[in-house]
Amino acid sequence: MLTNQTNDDFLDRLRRGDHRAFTQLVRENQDRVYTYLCRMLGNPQEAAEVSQEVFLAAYRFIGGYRGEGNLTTWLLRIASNMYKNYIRHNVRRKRSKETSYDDTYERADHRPIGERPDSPEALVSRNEVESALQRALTELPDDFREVLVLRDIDLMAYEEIQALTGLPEGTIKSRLHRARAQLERLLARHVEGGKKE
Amino acid sequence: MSQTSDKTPRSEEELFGACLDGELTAEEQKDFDDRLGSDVEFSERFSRHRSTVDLLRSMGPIPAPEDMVAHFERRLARRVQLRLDTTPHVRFPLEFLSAVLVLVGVLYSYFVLVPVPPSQILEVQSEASLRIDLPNPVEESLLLGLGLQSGGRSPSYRLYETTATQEEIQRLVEQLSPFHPEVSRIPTGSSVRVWVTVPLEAGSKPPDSIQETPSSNPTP
Repeated sequence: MLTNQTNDDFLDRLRRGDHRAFTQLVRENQDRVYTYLCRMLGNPQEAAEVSQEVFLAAYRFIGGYRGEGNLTTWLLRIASNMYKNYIRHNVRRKRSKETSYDDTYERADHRPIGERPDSPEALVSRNEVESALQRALTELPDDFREVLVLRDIDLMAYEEIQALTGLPEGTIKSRLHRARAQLERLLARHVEGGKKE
Repeated sequence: MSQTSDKTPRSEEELFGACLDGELTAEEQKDFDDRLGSDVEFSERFSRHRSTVDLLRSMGPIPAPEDMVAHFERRLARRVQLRLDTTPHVRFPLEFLSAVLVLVGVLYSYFVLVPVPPSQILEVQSEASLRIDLPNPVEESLLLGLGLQSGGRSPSYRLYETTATQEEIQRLVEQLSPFHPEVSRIPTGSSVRVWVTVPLEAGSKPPDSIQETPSSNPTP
């Protein structure tokens, strides 16, 4: 895994601009970066675009990586900044919030890794719940959504989230608790809305 | 609300979060369990909360598109190519070449395309030489008196020559002024070679080139 590869040799190769090293970096981190952006943006296509920008930024700014934290955390920090810039400058945000996740997520067949129900009915139900959850996530304020994605979806330790966001642990926990409570209310609303439809 | 062991109040959200993260102390955990058993609404709220978090935790990572790496490699290659194309040491010769071409164009326009104002009596052959074609015959003694030396003679004109400083040329031009219009240009230089052609008859055409003068002419 990457954390084991943040040795001097690998870092030297990255700093020299070794393309094969960067390809390896992308290959080993693409799922985490893409997942983070997918959950934050709620749109797989935009997430793929921004992921590319993240890795290109890593190529440009690898000289600024001083070895604090692991490379994955560093990449996710870039992804977090890229996400904020993207949102700030992208007028398509509203549209993607409203419609694109359901359409593109299922069409692209980007199913989550892990155990999946086998029956079609269960799969449909699961996808519906996940779509509702993603919609609820997208409606959360960015600060809340980020800690939820990092802690409950990416399963990062508080120390890693602290390194990534620069926030004190108490603030992270406080946001996380409030975010979970708010998400619960939003999810209940979406599920109720889905039943009525 | 609940109380921690150090009596710090916790909101219900914080309490649920701490329980799910396994961060409750033994005493807090006991209180929490007791309340779950005695307070049905509390228990339902916690159950809903835990379901939401469990759902989030089950979402897991989403595989990146299969072409993510290939796309990145293509963009990286394009970026490197672009950087090579715009690297200063590669761009410099083009800029330098452009500047040289512009300079050559300007100089060519100035020295070749823009005509020198015509003068009936003066023709500059080079920066270090001056040719004066007098339009009418002049007594030879006058020219010799001005320091010019006879350089030869042809059926149609006579040639005189001298080497002069700027001051001497100015003086020579002033003294010849009764026989010719104003001189438009005098070459610069500490020492200038001067040729004066004098027609033998008024209206004779001066030679195009001193080199083409008759054999009697000692060509400079």
